[in-house]
Amino acid sequence: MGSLISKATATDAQRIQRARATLARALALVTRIGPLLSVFGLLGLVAIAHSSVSKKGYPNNIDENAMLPAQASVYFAPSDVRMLSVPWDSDQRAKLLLNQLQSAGLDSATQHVWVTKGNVTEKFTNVYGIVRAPRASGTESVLLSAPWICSDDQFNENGFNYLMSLAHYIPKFSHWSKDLIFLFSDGGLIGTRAWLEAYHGFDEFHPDVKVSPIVYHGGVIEEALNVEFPGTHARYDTIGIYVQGLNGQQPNADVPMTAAAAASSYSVPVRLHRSRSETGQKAVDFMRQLNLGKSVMEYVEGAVGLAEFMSIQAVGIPMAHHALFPKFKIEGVTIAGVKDDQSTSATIDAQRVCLVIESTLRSFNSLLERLHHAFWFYMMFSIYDYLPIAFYIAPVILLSANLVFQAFLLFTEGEFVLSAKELEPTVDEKLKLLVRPAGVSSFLKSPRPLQLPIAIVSLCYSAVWICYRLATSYPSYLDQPLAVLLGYAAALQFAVSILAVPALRLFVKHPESQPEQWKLLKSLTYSALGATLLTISTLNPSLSALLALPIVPAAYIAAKPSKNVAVKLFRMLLLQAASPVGLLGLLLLGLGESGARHVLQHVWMVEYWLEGWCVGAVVCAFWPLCLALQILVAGF
Amino acid sequence: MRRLVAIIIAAWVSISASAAQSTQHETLHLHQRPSGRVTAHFAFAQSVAQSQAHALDDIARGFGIDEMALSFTQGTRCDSIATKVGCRPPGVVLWAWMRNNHSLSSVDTRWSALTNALAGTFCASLNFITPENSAEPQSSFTHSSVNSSLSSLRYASLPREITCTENLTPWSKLLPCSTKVNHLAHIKDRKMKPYCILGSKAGIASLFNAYAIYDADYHSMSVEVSRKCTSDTECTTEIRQDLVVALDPVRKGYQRNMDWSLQFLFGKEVAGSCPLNEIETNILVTLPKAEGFEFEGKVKPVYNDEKNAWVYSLELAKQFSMGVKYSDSKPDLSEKSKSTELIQIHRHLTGYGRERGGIKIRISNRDTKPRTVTLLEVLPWFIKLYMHTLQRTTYHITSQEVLSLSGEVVNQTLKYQPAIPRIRPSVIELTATLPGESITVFTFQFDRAFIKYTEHPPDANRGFDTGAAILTVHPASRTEKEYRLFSDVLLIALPTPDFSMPYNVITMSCTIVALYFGTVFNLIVKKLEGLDDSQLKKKWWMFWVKERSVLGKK
Repeated sequence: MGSLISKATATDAQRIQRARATLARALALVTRIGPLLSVFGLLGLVAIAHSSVSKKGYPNNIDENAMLPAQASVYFAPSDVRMLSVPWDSDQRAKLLLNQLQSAGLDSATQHVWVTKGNVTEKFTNVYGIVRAPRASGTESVLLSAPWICSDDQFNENGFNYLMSLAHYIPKFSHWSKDLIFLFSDGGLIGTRAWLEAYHGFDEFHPDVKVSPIVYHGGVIEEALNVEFPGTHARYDTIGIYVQGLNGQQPNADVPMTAAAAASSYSVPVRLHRSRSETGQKAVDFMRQLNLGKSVMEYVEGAVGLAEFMSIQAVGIPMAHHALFPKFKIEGVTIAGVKDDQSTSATIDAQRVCLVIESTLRSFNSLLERLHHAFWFYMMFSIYDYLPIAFYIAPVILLSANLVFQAFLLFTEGEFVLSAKELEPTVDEKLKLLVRPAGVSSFLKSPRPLQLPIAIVSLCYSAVWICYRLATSYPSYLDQPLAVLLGYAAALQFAVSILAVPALRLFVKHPESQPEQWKLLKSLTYSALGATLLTISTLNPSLSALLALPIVPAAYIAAKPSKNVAVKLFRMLLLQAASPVGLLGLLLLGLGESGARHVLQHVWMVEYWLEGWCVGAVVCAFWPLCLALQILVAGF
Repeated sequence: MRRLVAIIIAAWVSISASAAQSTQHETLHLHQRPSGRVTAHFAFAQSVAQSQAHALDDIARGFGIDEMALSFTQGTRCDSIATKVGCRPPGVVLWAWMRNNHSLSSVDTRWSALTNALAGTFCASLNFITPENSAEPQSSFTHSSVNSSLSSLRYASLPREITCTENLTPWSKLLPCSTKVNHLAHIKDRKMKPYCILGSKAGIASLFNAYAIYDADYHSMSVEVSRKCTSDTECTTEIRQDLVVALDPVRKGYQRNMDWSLQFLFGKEVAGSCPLNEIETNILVTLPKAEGFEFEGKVKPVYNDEKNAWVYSLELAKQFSMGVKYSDSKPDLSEKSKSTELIQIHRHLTGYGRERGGIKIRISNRDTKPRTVTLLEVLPWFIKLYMHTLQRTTYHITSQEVLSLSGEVVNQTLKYQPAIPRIRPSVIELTATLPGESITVFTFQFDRAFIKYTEHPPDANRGFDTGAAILTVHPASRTEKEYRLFSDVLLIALPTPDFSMPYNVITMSCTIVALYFGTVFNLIVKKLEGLDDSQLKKKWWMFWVKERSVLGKK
């Protein structure tokens, strides 16, 4: 019996010691390989761009079997096409559209939108009509929308005509299970938003926008298709499908896949977006000149596609009007007609476009629930290649995971009464038990002087927030050249971190003798930074990756005290380069003054009129932490 | 021929003898609108005497019902002008006035028994009407013939109940002249036998072709039962059955024109009148135009100014068909969306997401006079209402200016029954006066409850339908009658769990149990032995382990 007890004691002791040893080893491992995690993340991002990783072909990727993509019989005939000359004048256009919708027997009405910009109030008119599903209870609906101005700034004349043809054609059938709402919106994104908000009961959603109420309602809008076919061409070359929404939110992956499947069943070529960006095209052309072989070029094209997808998602700017749908839980994409300048053999005519739309609508119609299969989190580098969250989330999280580990490590190091070594138990040979040092118990508190680090971080947050409020309240300041603005911001950030030093000295007289102060400040900043980036990674993974890529290595290299002033300055500059100021500088270098300004104006427009939060998040949640790291370098 | 006439006369005599006090008659009203849509209203009325047997009379008697109305509806495009019974909301609506003092049981017990009996009779899921979704409105279904101190009212709706042929068949079996032979089997007279076979497809019900009437834009099948007693033993049960079908010849035909015929709309003809009818069966036709059309068919109708319709009379055992051909048959589709009703109700959801939401009810009064209305809203318990958010705004109908209410118009009473989860619904009954030419908007907010996962329907991600709000329009003068309007049905999505999760949990817990079982089994079965240091010595191949015993170095 005695031997049993002694064995039990022995195994317990063994277990405790094993656990401690494992923890110590894990900590050591994290300190050693922690920084490597970011490298793994980066390698992961590079790897997922390879075409062997992604899932191929849209029909394989549609999870919702009830959609029956491209399997319904569709009947749209050439004689159903109605081509009108759509007036460019807003009032005349609204009158014509309303008249047409009414003559098709739809419950139709107009909605007026008054938008005040400065002292000027503009009036826009949205026209909408509802095809009531004959035998349904009118609780669900599908939205078909067409904005007057397409995302490439052309007038959506054909788009309007196609929708109008469908508005006359669809009521001929009784197989519709959902109401179909036709919306012809005016006034750009704010016009579409005004209609959506008013439909959901929000007549006063913005101080500068007034709307008249919606008179007719269908049911809950579940799916949507936004249609952009600019100009009056008889034919188009390709259909571009737009996926990414406002703030990087996306529709269920089944929606673009279904639209693409419908298009392919009528031999309509489809692609993701209208065309590759200029920068992307330059990169591809450059690599092509190097004659690297087919497989390398395949990879380059995939990587460029992925980089474009991620950069669009990161900025969160709407690419087209479907971008506004996710907020209202509407799953929708934009399909846009693309006419290449040089092409002479365009084949997609009005009938084929309408057949594609009809087939997609039939798929929506077959679905008697909300879309809940498949993913809302995915990346695409072409309409054929699809990366679900399982593939990309690990690299994105790895990029900033080390911040959390480091924060823990620094937190354990940041106690100033007893060191970890002092706490280690000794083995009593006689009793054959582990013995704690005197005064040490399970209830021992390890005091950490957290007051100062918390004060610094919160002051950084409030300082940046005040600057942000000031900048957004006086947007006229933004009219100055971007280089000047960038200079102001950089100087301000640098000055604040330098000026914080004397204030810091009031509390920390001898920074060398108080290492726990900077360790705790760094721990706090790292944990906040890790929390911010990891939270963003679930909402907008591209933005998280974009922010983590420069700041994590910069912080690893630079966020530590130094006595040498030159080293200090270098480290501060490195951190500054990885902060939003540096990112802005990069944007200015890459796109030039006019390009960068265009992007910024767009971002500003999105932020002010459409509730974009990407820039707000970068400025208010990310920037203060960069500042705190700079203060750490300057002050200790 | 003589023989046939003799048989028919014999039939008449026989029927009038057998149905001593029972009467029945039927009418079909076909009403076409300028948009081309034809609303067919089949109206059947029967009066069943105490001595007669009828399934619904049995139910009315057995459950102590004074009055009852049940409707099965599909579609929303109802034309209120063309139907005399009013428009009903999609799904099933049932209300009943029931005697308080009944020998059998309490009102609530009888109410659930009634729903089960009706479920059996009409082959519908009416048994889903439970106390959880039944309400007792106070001022919405008041009726002059029922003494509200002696009877209690129950109301419920099943907005998701889909009506189909399986409901139509039992419904039409309740008609004396129906589509099946065995209905007239009680007529034992031998002479009647050949006639029975003839009459099996008699009357306007012979137009019931499920393919046609379920392809309609609107389809509503209803039963109204009212029981009147002059003494304890002398009771008669009035049974009204109405079928309203809105058919669209413009949609149906490839020509896309307004011309139609019975054969075209229903794919059938009327097989003569029902021999059981006391008065002659009429088919009324109201057309959108006063001229520029001609009737097809052998029989020509007579115009009746009083009824404002062309009238056909059906004859016994004589096939009947008719049609209309226009000289200009182009439909005016824009008329579809125009509504001429004086009072309209429109209800929709506000907000987005699955946590909170709101409901907006817009009632417009185009009448120049103020009208008093009662709004009844029965909401399921999982819609958690916030009554402090209930707001009323009244605008002028054209100028959209907000009206400040004063005098009589302010008169507004609110009765509210808060919901008890899984026991009863929330009931709001709001009586208000609508100023002339005004739009009144009521709004309120709610939270969506997170319900148990077993309470979700199989298609959980569709959401929950909530029944229509009912607007009772009280008469403005003595000549008018009270009538009811039904609002739209709403689909409310509740927070829905990921239903594949339970399976993940099962797999996880099975794994954990297996591991745990393995360990425990190991512990129980293993033989424990004393500590022997020699056993703990390092094995020769464990080169990475330092040489030491369990408790530190030797």
